[in-house]
Amino acid sequence: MQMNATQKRRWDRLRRVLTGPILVAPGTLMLAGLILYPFCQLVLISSGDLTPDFSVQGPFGLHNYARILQLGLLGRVALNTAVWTVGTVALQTILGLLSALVLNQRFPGRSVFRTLIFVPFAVPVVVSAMTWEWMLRGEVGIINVTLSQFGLEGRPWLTLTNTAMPALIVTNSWFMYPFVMFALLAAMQAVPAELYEAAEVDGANAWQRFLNITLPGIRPSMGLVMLLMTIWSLNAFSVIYIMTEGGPGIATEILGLTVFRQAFRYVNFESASALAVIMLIVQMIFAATYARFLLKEQ
Amino acid sequence: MSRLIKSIVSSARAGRIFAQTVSFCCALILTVFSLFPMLWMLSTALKHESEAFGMLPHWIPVSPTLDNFKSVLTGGSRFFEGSLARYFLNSIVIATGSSVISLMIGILAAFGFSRYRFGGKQVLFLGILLSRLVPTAVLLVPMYVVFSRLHLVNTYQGLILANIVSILPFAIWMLKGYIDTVPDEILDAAEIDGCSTLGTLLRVVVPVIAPAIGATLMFGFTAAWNEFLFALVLSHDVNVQPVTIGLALLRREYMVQWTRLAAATIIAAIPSVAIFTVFQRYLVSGLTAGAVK
Repeated sequence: MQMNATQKRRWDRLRRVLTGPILVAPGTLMLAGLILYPFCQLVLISSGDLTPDFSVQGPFGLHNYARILQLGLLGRVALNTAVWTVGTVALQTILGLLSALVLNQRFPGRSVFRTLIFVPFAVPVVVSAMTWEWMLRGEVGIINVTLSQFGLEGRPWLTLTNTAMPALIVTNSWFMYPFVMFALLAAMQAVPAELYEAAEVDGANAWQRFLNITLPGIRPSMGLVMLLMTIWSLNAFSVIYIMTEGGPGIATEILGLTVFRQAFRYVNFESASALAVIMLIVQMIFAATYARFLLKEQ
Repeated sequence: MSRLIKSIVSSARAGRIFAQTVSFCCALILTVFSLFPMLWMLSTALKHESEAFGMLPHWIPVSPTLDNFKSVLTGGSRFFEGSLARYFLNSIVIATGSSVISLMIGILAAFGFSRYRFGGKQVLFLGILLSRLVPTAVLLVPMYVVFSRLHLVNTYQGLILANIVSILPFAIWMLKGYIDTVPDEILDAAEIDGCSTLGTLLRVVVPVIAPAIGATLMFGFTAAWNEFLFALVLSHDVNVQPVTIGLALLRREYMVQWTRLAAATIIAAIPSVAIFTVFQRYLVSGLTAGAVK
């Protein structure tokens, strides 16, 4: 195709302007189609009615929301979700920080340890959940047996109301903390060594160095990681589903599980959708507040 | 005077050795904490059922056996149609498909975000990143409804699409970070040489960002391999269900054989652990390059 100079210039300009959007289009359309469109459907279903052939129809109103709130278990489930989230993020952060501090020191074989510690994070959550369930079992569980060897009393951890949630929190933290460790380690290694050397010259001991140099240095990363961990723990499903299925009773049921149960056990898609919308709103409020808090810190 | 200096230096070295030893021990404790559950599972998998339940729990199997692995790979049972092998195959198809497609779409988008200017670019990029914040449980119901309408339930395509949702934003983010570090001169030179956009991309950019590509594939494969909730809802028979669901089904049998289950969990965990361990150094460089921007 022959073009004169003007046409060629116009074609080049067109190419320059359009190439970006064209490259970005497939990914954007895919995500829009798989997230935005279902989300719109979610809002529709939550305020309406779902027919057996999966189309939405009226009457549209807030009746599903009312029904969900009337169920009466939302208070307990919300509490469980809060306990679960706070507990698991706290434990992961503590373990991650400790292990990052340890692995930040120089000693032989530290990269080997780093790789090994990371293994649980790569294992399917289902596998980790079953492994810990097997370990926590009443008589044959290795944990109870080891405890009794030390003269301590073992327990049916996963079937007692008071111990089920802590047991789940420990399991979840066990395979999630390597990620925190990884992120904090990277942040620590970005702290300039001169700061530490200057502090040592000034006579600061290890604890003071940690408090005044390390902690402030990794604050931004830590805040970001904790936000991510919070969102991931709100999202958690497999661990609880496999190990206790929300039990005993509803002692370990969190929001995600209730949505699943309403939709696929009681086949009540409308109530499940209403609950899902509530869940999303809560999460977004929380994420926005947290993010604003983070940005203000910086 | 020199003796004083010598004693100061040697105590500093002693202090360092002490710190190193303490760190080493702590690292050892942490590693044991991280690994002992998997090792216990391996020990259980190598025992006969009678040994696992009959005797007091012990680490080294008295009479080790590979029967559990064999039976779980070939045999069947009431709820566990077919064998673990089929679920394993499904996982391979889904994980490979999700990660490869996410990579291809992601690299195009990352290139577009990185090198080209257009209206709404920042907002769009931020939107893509924020989409990761949507809980799976929230998407669960509408996705099931939409997929049912489109006859995508219980298909490989359906599960691959669902996994792409999780993988794509991260892929775009990481690839973009890496592409940002490619010097402009190289790309301009390619364009002057007459390369088309796609040509530039394939011949120039891809070799340079190879670590990020490795990291994306690794992340995508592992994420899809370990996925559970979407698979639970969007598939319901052995033709499509991945190994994570297969494990859960094996678990739900009314007479759970924990030794067989242990063998199954080990088999199910091997691919994602292997790929993760081999490629994790790419993840390090991929992430730090993305963060440097």
